[in-house]
Amino acid sequence: MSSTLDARTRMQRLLSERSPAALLGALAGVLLLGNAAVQKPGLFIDQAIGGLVYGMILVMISLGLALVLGLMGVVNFAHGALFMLGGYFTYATMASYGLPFWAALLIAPIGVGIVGIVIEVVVLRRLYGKEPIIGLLATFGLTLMIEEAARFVWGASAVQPAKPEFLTGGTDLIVTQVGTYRLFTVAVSTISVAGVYYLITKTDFGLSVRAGVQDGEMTEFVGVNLPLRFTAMFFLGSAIAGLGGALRVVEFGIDPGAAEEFVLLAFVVVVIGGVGSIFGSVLAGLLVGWAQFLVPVVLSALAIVTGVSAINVQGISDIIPFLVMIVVLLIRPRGLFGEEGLLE
Amino acid sequence: MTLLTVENLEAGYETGQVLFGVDLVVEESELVSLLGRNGAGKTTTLRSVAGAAEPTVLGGEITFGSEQLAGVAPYSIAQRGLSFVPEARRCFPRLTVRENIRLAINHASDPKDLETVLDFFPELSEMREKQARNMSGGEQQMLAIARALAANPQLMLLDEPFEGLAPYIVRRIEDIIAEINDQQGIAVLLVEQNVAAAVAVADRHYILDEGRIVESVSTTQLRENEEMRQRYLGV
Repeated sequence: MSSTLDARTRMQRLLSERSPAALLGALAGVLLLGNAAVQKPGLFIDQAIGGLVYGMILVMISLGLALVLGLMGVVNFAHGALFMLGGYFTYATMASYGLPFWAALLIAPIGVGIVGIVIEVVVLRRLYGKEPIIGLLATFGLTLMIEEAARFVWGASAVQPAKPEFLTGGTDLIVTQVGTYRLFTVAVSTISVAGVYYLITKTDFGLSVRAGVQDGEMTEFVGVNLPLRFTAMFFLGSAIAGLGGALRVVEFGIDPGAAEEFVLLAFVVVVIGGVGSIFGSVLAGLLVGWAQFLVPVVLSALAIVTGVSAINVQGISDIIPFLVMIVVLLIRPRGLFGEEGLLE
Repeated sequence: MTLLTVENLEAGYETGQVLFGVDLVVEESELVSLLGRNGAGKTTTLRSVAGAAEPTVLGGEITFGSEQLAGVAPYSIAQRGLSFVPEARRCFPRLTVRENIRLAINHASDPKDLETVLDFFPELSEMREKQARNMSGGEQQMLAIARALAANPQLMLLDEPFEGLAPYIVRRIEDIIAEINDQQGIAVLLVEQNVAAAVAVADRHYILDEGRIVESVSTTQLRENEEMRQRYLGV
């Protein structure tokens, strides 16, 4: 109860604290988006939904990264490799073992979660309380190992299982058609993110995790088995990333390069959202997703209106997450919710 | 019956050994203080008993009830009925009063219920949805003790509970500690630099100096022996 209120008041505070310049910027943003929506309504909605799908996948990866960083103080570079494994496990379940998509959606996250537990128990447990750089190097090494293992088993080129038939169609939205699978992705990711949010903010388990983030040693002094919670949170974070990989592989396929590509984006999301804040990671993931998909549309619409074709910069979308990060850090050096993370 | 026995405890940090053979005993329902100058090893003794990762216990035995505590995880020690209130209170800053106490209740083997604890602390009862970071030092100290009490322990370890508090709050905390001991029968091992406050509440006193227990005295003996106070406590 109190934490939803907290989120709302925090949101209000965030808005009320803005300077006139920032409000002017926001107004300009709204006008640009409006122009794009009028000029190219079909493409705009298409990209908005694409950005939502992509953003939710980023949220799913970032959550685990943010939780592990907040609770254990370890920068888990291997988190992208776990996302990638989710994709490969899904492919293996469906293509190699012939099981249905539903089964893969269950097996892949659990499988990735188990890999996560092994990583936590065998490697990370030795690194708690040590220099962060050691954790970063160790998990970077793990990433390379998992990547090479995937390359060895599934090859260097992308693999993609067949999309389940009932999710292949499209849903008509008048100006455009949206793939049913995209809507399915949004639904599943929303449910799982909401589930994590509920677990952390409303349950006794979540209470002990939040306490652990704030003062790990004291949490143990009041009787909480903290090592068990570390393992549980690592399982959870890995499984959510694995589920993200499972959702993505069916539409876009997966290749070993995804491990590093996505962990980098997840870092960007965590930094934008503010370390230790679940709410921040969710917002930042969506922000990055939408920015990446909508900025090209906004630019091309602006090019039409102004007649200056140079505005329509090609291939800009890949650098957008980093541009967003730079802008956010210039305004709020600790990220959007870095000071008042829900986890803290 | 003896509740806690510390025998020949040696402990230290990476920077060096601090305890060189500490011996002390806390009987059931007793209120004992552990006095000493800064750096004498008081906190190190309490943290060793509570099972903290640091300091490292180098030798000796810690017996609680009939069980050995050396090498036992801190959460497991807490669940056996030993509540530790470390220095600086260590309330969870972004948890509310209720959540701070709730956490202890959730993880104790034989806890009190929330209302019983709050009845004991009327001040806290009025601010149960307040986050600990927005509370005064005295309120935080009460919360830290309330959290320890919620676990319904056999023994409470208190590390400098009066530090940095205004005199009238010191008296309130003294009353609380005395009540916890008298009415609830919970044994207390109190570490203090504030000798006056320790004398006000404790029955018996150990004096720690350079990592060893040098005196074990009653309150009367401590009051009367000025030379001893001067030598080990500087008061």
